[in-house]
Amino acid sequence: MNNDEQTPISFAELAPRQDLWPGIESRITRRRPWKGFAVGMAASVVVALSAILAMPASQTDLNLLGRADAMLAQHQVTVAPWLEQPVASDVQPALDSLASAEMQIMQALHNEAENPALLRMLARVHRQRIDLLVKTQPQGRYIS
Amino acid sequence: MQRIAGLSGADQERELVARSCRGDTAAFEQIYRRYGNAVMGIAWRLTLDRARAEDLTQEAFVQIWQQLDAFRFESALATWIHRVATHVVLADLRRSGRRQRLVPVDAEYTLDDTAAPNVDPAGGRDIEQQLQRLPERARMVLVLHDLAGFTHEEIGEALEIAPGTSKAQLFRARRMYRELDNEQ
Repeated sequence: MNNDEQTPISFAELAPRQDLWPGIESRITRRRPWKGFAVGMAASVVVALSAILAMPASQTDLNLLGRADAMLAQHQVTVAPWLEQPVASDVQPALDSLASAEMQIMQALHNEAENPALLRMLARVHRQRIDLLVKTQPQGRYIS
Repeated sequence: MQRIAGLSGADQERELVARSCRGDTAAFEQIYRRYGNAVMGIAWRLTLDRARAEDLTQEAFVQIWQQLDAFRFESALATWIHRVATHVVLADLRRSGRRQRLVPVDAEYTLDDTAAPNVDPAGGRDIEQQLQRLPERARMVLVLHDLAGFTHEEIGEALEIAPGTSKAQLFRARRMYRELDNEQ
């Protein structure tokens, strides 16, 4: 084996043709919901998750992994306001456990992308996280 | 790049991450300015489509913003960002079905096996033409390993090939890349 095969290739960075930051900023900047809307918001998310779960793959044109990605993105947007501030120390271990479970389910979906039970497990983890946040942070993370 | 007075590079990143997790988009912009071009490089080299790579770079940073509170500094921030971005690109490729067009797992290839990839005529031709001439699987293994920092086990999972196959393809890809580079 010669040196050409053993030495990593060094790639240069590549600048986009235009500044991508304005597009990113517009997507991550959202209007914060009003204080006190946490429970209602959580309920609506459960409905949205249920709708995603109920959609046949042919309708969504996504495989299970794509649907899981969509659920994950939706969930992250939903819980982000709660997590913008420090979480109570007695709640953090439970949140860590849920994050670990979520990661393992996503990894399992990458390995076994046709198993719908994994998608249901992911939805259950998301419901548990929202329930936990609503119960332990009833004032919500919503800042008007 | 804005400097934060009195903080080392690593501490600056911790500060930027902490501020971003609190919703500070100005801090997150600094993270984007620091790593945006590296992510763009990964996205372009995996897709060979400049417009798509730009879209995926945007999507990657939206995902990074959403997942940043899960980053525990167990690896370098750059490593974590590269991984999130690479998974975004691979998920997009998977959804689009491009991976189904990959050559069979054990297929041999030579320097003549250079089926034209999906090159963006507007902007891709002048950049690393030798990379575009590599067979798709060889290119992806090369980029995932040498640029995105994936292990052979991780590449095996991502591309559904054996780690040993990934290793063999990487060595060949590096040799082919350098041979093509010398022709330039």
